[in-house]
Amino acid sequence: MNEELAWILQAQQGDDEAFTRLVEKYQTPVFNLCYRMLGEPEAAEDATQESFLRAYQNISRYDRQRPFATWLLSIAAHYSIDRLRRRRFTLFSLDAEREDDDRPTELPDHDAPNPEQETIRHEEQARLQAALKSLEPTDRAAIVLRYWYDFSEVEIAESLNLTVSAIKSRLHRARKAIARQLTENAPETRLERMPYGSPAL
Amino acid sequence: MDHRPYEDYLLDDQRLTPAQEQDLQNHLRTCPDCAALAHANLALRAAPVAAPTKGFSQRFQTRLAAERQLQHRRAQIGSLLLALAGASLLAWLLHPYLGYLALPPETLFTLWFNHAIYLVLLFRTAGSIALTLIHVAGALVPAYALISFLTLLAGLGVLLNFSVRRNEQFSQTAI
Repeated sequence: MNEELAWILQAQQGDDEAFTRLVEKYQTPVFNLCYRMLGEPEAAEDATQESFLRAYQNISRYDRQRPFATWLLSIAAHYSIDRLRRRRFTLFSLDAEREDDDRPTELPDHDAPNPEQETIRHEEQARLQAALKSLEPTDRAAIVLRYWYDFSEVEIAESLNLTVSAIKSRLHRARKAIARQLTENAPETRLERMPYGSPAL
Repeated sequence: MDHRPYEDYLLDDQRLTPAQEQDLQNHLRTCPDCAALAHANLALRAAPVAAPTKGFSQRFQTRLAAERQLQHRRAQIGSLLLALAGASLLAWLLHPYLGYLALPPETLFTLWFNHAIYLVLLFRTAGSIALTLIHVAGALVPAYALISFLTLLAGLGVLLNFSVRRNEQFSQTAI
């Protein structure tokens, strides 16, 4: 039995210490998902806590045949989608007018770019985040799960309770929309393709 | 410009052979739409992972404790409201009989005895009224109408029986 499964079993029997270990292990992937979905660090922090709270309340219903990360990220994705849909009904959000400097901690880049490259990278990230924000919530969740967690289309479909063909078409549409957004007033930049795999997990 | 199969290469995120890769690069130099798509793919793949500020786990523990306290308080209020509602309902139901509790036992016995006699008389009267109505109906309704009605009832019974049997047979076949 691996360490994670042992923590899950203990947490299912009411061991808070074991659940805390799961929180420590998955806080970054869940926060990253919420941040990419909601676009604001404070909202992402709150959504991450709420997602873990829901996971804690429903841990007895977790099916061990399914990867824990998929289950947990599915909770976070659904919560973030609901939150974005609720936000639509508010007249306007003060948070939306915040400066982009209000960024969360990003994990260290081992390639250590120089300051100029770092500035360009930050601008590129701000444009990418703005492009993500322009997407419909479910499309955004599909893109985040695909690119940050390397979920297959089947896994995304299971996580978001949609069909594989619906996910395929949402991913196509979303990537085209992001491409359009990034092209508008984009300076020439050179990006290195990251190796295949999940950067967030 | 024909974007196929280059758009599919990019949108399906396929692993390409060196020849396909070269072909794609040539196309990207001449097609701004596909170049934008390739750039979007790279930007998404190059995006860093955002992490929460330090102490997230402790902040979650605090929130969990607060949530538990809230749940406990909600449960207490719920139980209190339920007990109050139950007590109120019981008081409302027993209210007409509370006066009897102050009476001496012999008066109480007499009262209950009177009630029992009243109920017996009520049932006997209702029985007499029902018998009279049946006699009157028998005199008013002709014999052939009564026979037709009973035959119709029997037919419906047979039909219902047949239908239930058919349904059982169908269920067994389905399994």
